[in-house]
Amino acid sequence: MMRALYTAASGMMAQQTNIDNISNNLANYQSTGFKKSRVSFQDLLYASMDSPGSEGTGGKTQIGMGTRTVTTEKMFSQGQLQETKSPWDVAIDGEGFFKVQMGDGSTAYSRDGSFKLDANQELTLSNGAKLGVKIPDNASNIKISADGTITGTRMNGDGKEEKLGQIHVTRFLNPAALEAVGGNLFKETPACGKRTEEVPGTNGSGVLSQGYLEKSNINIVEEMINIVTAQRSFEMNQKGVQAADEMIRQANQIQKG
Amino acid sequence: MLDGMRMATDGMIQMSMKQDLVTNNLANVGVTGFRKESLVVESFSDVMQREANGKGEVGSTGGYENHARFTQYSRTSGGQGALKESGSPFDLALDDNGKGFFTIQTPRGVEFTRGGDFKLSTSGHLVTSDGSFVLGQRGPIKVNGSNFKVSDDGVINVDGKDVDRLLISKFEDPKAMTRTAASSFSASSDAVVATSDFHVKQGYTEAANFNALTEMVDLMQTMRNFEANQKALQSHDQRLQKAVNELGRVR
Repeated sequence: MMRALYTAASGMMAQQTNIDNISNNLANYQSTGFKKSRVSFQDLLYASMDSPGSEGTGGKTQIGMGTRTVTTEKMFSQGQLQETKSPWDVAIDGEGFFKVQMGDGSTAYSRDGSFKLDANQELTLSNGAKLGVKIPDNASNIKISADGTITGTRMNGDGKEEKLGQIHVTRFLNPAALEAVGGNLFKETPACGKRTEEVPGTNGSGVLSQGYLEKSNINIVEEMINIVTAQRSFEMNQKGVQAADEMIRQANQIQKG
Repeated sequence: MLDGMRMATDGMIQMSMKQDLVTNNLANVGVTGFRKESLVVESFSDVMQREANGKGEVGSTGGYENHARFTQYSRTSGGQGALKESGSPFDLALDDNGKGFFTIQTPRGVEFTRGGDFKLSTSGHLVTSDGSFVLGQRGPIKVNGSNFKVSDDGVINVDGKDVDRLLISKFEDPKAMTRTAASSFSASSDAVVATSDFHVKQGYTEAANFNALTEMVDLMQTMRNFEANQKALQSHDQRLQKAVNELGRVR
């Protein structure tokens, strides 16, 4: 029953991690392009033991040592698209990521398409990461089509629409292995598998929607149910601690006075 | 009287073991594909009766000779856990009334699990959450492509091509299963057979296969059983004290 104390404690700690994770999901409900994460648990080692007074039949008794947290992973289901009417807001409807250049020169990936034009007329995220697309300063009437083509008319040109650039999306075989680095950005890890750069809408990649942003893929009801389940699981384990404690107390009282 | 004390002690040890087991089930409520472990306790006379009857001999244990010598073993419950949609293509759940197991290659050897929250490894292999290879009919499953589909009958399709079929095993005798860690079981090879009687659900995970309510009831019941045995022990002790100090008082 001393084992039961530690086993129940491991269960409480696991549920604590679970609640930390769900809280983070809930806190990011309004973050553009945020992807929820989930925690995976596994059981710990088992001790095989002989029973007291065992007469050799039946089989072995195996008692587990509790649970532990193994991984957290991102779930990349689609978030709802919300209309913003801002011409530089672009959402990906389907699979894929925007590939952006961070301030330190490293590459990151994002589902957040709330771009702005910086001083050099480059498409930039609010955290300063650049998409690598420059819009000529004399262009107007900018349109970004579903396949990522940027078109517009130049002020001193012939008034015809011309192609100004192209936005690509990057797909991973295993996006769950992307490392979240904060700021709605992800870094590639070796476990991401094959990476392909696609024209939006081809080879299974999503299409772009100008004037829309992707909301987080959090479902409030689902997360609330998760938090209730986690809280009750925590409570169950706490009762396990109490029961073990009570048994130890009784054992101590076998010999009265 | 000393017999009575020993019986009560056996009961207490038994119950504390059971409590360890119930607590472990509760702690693992969040583990994908976790199988409930329960303690089977039989009195010596029950076992003797059964064994004797099996051999066609008369099994007489007599009324008073039931000395509560226990035999016990832990048993893995085989029921199906609830399926929950997860949205990850690498999450696979077996929907087969809890009969089959994914076959996996671990550093400890070939093992079996129902924890289907798989992912991809750095080398592109399908692995369990602690990194053991998931085996198909042709060995470890490698995913070379960007479109991973698993059909209801376990055929793995990558980018439109069937590459392998999941190797699902089942145990002839559930007692042959030994728990290792990470929701896995080991067994000697002759206790395991491959089966094709299963359904795979892609994008689902299987929850632990126990009912929290019955576990909580078990938790309380075990504690009270322990208490009852403790009280019995105390009462034996008091009688012993009377016998020693009052009956046999020398004036």
